[in-house]
Amino acid sequence: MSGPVVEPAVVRGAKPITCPNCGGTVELRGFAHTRTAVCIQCLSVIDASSPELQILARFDEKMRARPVLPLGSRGKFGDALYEVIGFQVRTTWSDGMAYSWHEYLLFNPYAGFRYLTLYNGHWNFVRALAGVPSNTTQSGRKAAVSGGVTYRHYQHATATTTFVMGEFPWAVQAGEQVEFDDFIAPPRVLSREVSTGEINWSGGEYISGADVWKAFGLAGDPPRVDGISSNQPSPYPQKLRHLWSDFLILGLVWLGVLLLFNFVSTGKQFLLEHVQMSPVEGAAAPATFTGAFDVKEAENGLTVEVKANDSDAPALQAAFVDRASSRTIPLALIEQGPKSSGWRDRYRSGTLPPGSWSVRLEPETQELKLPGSYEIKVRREAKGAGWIWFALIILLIPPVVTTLKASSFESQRWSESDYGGGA
Amino acid sequence: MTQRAAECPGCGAPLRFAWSSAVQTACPYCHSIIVRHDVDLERVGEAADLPPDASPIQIGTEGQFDSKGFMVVGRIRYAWAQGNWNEWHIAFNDGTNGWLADAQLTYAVSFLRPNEAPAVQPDALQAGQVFSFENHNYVLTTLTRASYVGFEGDLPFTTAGRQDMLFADLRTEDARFATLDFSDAQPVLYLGRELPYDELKLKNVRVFEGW
Repeated sequence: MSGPVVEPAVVRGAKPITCPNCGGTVELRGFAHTRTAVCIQCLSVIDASSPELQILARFDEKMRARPVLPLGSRGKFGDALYEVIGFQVRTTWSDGMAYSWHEYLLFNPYAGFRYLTLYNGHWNFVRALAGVPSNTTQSGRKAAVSGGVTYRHYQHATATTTFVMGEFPWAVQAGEQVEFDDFIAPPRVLSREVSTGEINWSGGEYISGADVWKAFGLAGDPPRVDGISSNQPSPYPQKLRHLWSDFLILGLVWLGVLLLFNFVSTGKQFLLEHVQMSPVEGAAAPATFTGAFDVKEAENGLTVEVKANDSDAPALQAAFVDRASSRTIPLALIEQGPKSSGWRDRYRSGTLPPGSWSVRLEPETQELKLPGSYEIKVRREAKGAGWIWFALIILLIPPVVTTLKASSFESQRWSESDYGGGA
Repeated sequence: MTQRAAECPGCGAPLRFAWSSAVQTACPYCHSIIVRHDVDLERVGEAADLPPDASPIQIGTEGQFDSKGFMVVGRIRYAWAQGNWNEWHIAFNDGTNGWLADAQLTYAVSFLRPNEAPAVQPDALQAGQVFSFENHNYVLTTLTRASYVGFEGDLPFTTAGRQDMLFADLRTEDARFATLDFSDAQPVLYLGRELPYDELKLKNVRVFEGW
């Protein structure tokens, strides 16, 4: 492109002004952008845009706050260097409590203005948004969409400027009030400020105090972090993903062990039958057989329960008999006890091969003196080695504990919002 | 881009139009305001010096927008309640032109959209209203009452009679930018986009003492 040859013009820094109230020197760092400047000695707000240097307001000495980033210091964010040229304290009241945060106005003569906000040791790097987020709702709450990201409404409040220092490209008023709404998508936050006839959106990103200190090359430690801030990134989601995927792997191993060694079997009832035995005059009592039940795969230990409803019912002996081969599997008596009415014997078998089986019942004495009425139950008891369940619980501890911590982090995050439980 | 050689009707100095379709320019020597009627040049007044500002942009600054190179050929300065801003007149290599605004060091490039402005009365406007231009929804964010301060360089129209004016700024979710200019009887629409300083890839910018 052809055109006039251009020598880059040099823009000279603005000369310091003299405070019309106390005669103190007020340095100017924002070139011709500066509209108002505050005298650091007497806190007069001076209109620096005209040579008359009119005093617009004065801030109360009692409200004086000390900036942790000195005016005139420069820090690097991204590729650009920014100079701290202004500092203000903004306060919002909720239930009689004052919440104050600090805002640092950063300036680069090419890239423009940015902000660093500081609340309870939590920092955000903030810039004006080029676009206007659209309104939406998420889970019944207000939300805003910007750049494809949905931000959840955090709070609506009124902010009052309670202290300023340095200089600003706008007219600063003491006690200026702005209504704002914050929307969060950690680590980012959107703020919508409404003042007469204007809607201003800004976007902030959480930055650690250590990173701020590094950007400005400051010695010592940044202000101590207190609590959890609205858009602070949670450390848990990533941890949780790892822990649950570890659990998934270990859980599969656990399941493999379980299936491989058959530590667990479900219960099953093979037989429930009522049997009557009657004495036969002068003859030995015959054995009685229950109906048959099928065993498809070898069973390792079945329980047989013989229950009499009458305590006078004669005692019996029980065994398994294969109906086809007449092979007998003896039963070991493992529990014998009277009941409130009647009595109950419990037996256990050894390994029972597949086949069609019955329970053979014989009176203990040769002769049956009295009739008896019995309930016969054959079952496989549900079993599980206790330690294998214990192992599962141990495996569950890390992800469950971290899930609880993550949930507690989130409820602390929302505790100062419009949706906080207690507040 | 052609450069027509001409003489300033005020002082006779050679005049070079940096943009071939310029309608108004200022003589860099005698500060005459010169309006072009076809081939005739008319001196219509004298341009006042613009008060100092702190924009990094100057006449002759070059940059890029949507991969097209441009050069700054002129500007109009406006003042409003919170300060001043410039609308820099930019000329592209292909002969088209546009505007680069630098209000409080936020940068927006926009282009005139003839006959696309809605027929709205300025009194009926308020922040939050939504307008649809070229299939995008724009939200009205700011109404700015401004006054014309002055100009320099080449402009595509005359600034004669400009005093107080009203601008409505509108934006979309994805940083599209629109201005409704109520300087004349009929509102005029400009559409464009706000973009970070780095994306403009500006050259020949001003240098700031201490930076």
